[in-house]
Amino acid sequence: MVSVAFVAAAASVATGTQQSTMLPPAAPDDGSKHGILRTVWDFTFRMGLRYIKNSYKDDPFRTFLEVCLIAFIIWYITKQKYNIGTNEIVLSEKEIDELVEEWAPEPLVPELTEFEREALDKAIMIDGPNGTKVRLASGSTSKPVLNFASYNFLGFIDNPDIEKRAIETLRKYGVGSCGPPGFYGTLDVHMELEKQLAAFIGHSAAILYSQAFTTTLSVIPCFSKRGDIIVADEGVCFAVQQAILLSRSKVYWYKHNDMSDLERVLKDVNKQLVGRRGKNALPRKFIVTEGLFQNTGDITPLDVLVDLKRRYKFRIILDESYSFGVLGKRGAGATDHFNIDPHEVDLLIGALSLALGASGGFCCADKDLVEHQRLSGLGYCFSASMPGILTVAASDAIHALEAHPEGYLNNLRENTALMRNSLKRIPGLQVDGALESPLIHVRLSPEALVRMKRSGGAWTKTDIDRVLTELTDEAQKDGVLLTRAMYVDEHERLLPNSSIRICVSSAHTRKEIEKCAHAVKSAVSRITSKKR
Amino acid sequence: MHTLVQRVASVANLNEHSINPNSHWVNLKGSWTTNIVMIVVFRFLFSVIPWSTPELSWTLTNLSYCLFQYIMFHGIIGTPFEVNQGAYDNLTLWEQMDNGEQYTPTKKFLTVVPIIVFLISTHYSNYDVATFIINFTAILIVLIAKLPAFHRVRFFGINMGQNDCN
Repeated sequence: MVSVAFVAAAASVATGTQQSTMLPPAAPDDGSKHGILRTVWDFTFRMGLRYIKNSYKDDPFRTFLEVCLIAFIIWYITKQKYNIGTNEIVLSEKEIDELVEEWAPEPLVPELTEFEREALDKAIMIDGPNGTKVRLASGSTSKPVLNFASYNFLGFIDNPDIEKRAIETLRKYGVGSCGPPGFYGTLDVHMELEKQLAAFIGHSAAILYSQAFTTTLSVIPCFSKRGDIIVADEGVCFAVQQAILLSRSKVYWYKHNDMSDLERVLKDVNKQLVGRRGKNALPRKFIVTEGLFQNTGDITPLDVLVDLKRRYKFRIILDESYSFGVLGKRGAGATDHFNIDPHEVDLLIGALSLALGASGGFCCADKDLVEHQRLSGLGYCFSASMPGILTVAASDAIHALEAHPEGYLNNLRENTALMRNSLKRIPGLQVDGALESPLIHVRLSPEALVRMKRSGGAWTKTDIDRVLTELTDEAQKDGVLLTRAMYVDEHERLLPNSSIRICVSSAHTRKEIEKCAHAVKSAVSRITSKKR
Repeated sequence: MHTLVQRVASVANLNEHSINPNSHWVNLKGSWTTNIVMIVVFRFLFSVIPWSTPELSWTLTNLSYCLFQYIMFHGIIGTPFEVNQGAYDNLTLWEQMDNGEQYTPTKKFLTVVPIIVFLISTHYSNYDVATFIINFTAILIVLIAKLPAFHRVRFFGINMGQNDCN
């Protein structure tokens, strides 16, 4: 019991006085200094003895336990601070010197491989404004070439009306907005465009981001946090992959566009959650996918997706960057295409920089979800808002699309169908993606690749990329600008097969489409006839 | 699914320089004092219950304080605040305190106080075996939960966070 601590403590007067404060106060000090000490010592000693007598209740085991507790106190109090979980390695001077000696700095810019150097040398540079016809700065001829490499689906990039309005806006608002939306960066045109976007999509509210890539990167981590669950398509584009990574959520991948596999994953996830207790029993659960896949040109079967979401109680985050302005009767994206109420898609992410030819992105959602992003969306809070000119350009593009949807979209559909049909007829070529997708990935078919290899050896990715680069070079000689789909190889989760990405625009004429298809055909025949 | 003893995954390096608003207040001198005041008030309240013996009131005081410590420091996980993307979501307040550092002054204080209360109570009352066991078990539970060896260790699946039980 406390008695033992007391006996131990009684050795020092200091602890003795401390003890005495717990008990009745010490006797008044009326003697000399020596006398006081003596009195205090006497008093504490006597008190201590009484204490031990009182405490020892004829039970040695109990006393033993109490002694243990006191020993524990002493042991615990005398321990030094330390941090669990840091595996700090302490090095000796010699070891440090050795490490410094061994260290060879890596170059700031890594050495390029041979193929990378070639690709860099051949990088396309456009002289003058972008559009369906462009002049190349690097090309040998000064003749304009047909551009099938830009995401200019509706031909808004070089629309003269929009350009005129943009110049007028420039006079009014200047070039930049000079601040994030929360810090004097919001213009009236931003708020108008948000309302216009929400009305156009048919959702409750919208929020504007100043960059398309960061829209995805911002929206997904804004709602899906550590401990939440994301079920994502394997074929999603780089932005979505990075967003998922940033969210730190638990990710489950399902096979690209395979709804039965998605259902299996959803069932699995829900099964794991059964029986979980506490506040983590109900994490936020999201299905993340793209409306129109950047890497394949496939379209997500949104009707099935919505059905699954309802059945398994998930939320949908749909990246409509590529489908917005392209799919559907009105061009409002995948929800329009499948005739689904946009409210079924809980977070709808879109880009204004692709089909609309402006810049930035947006997220359509319920009002609360949008307001949450105004304080928690990193891309919204911490980057300057969109310049006024681009905002007005996007707004005008939507107005134009709303006024004549058939004009733009029918043209786009016809061009897409024509391009796809012509490309499909080319031997040795494989055309990917959904029929409605103006984003066409063409790959060399496996048979053609086998035929081209002289020794029957295997193709490496670089080999195929090199052949495709040759193909684009050949097409460029015929006056058609194409590009290979490029990726940051080491950062892609599943690296898509090498392909040439052809973007059809509604601004292309029938003749231009035919010319492109013809150029591809002759390039392919020239390339495949060469053995290597 | 739950085994007897499990360790919660270390989800992130807790940043020493960021203040966790959920556990910061524990280090204030005011909250140290509150502990003492609380014990005194408990003791007083339980002693004014009619027909209460010193044994009963001390036992109730001891149990209430241990229960308070258990709930506050070991019974609830997570934080109502958004800190470092939920880095503290699966941790009890005891594990969050001082960013997981052991043997800090507050931790020492909060470890010593229930023991002192227990020792004082055994001194001032005549516990029979049953009451002694009840009181001793109570402080044993709160002490074991505080040991550095049991940092992020969970018994019987109590307080298992998400992502730790599959």
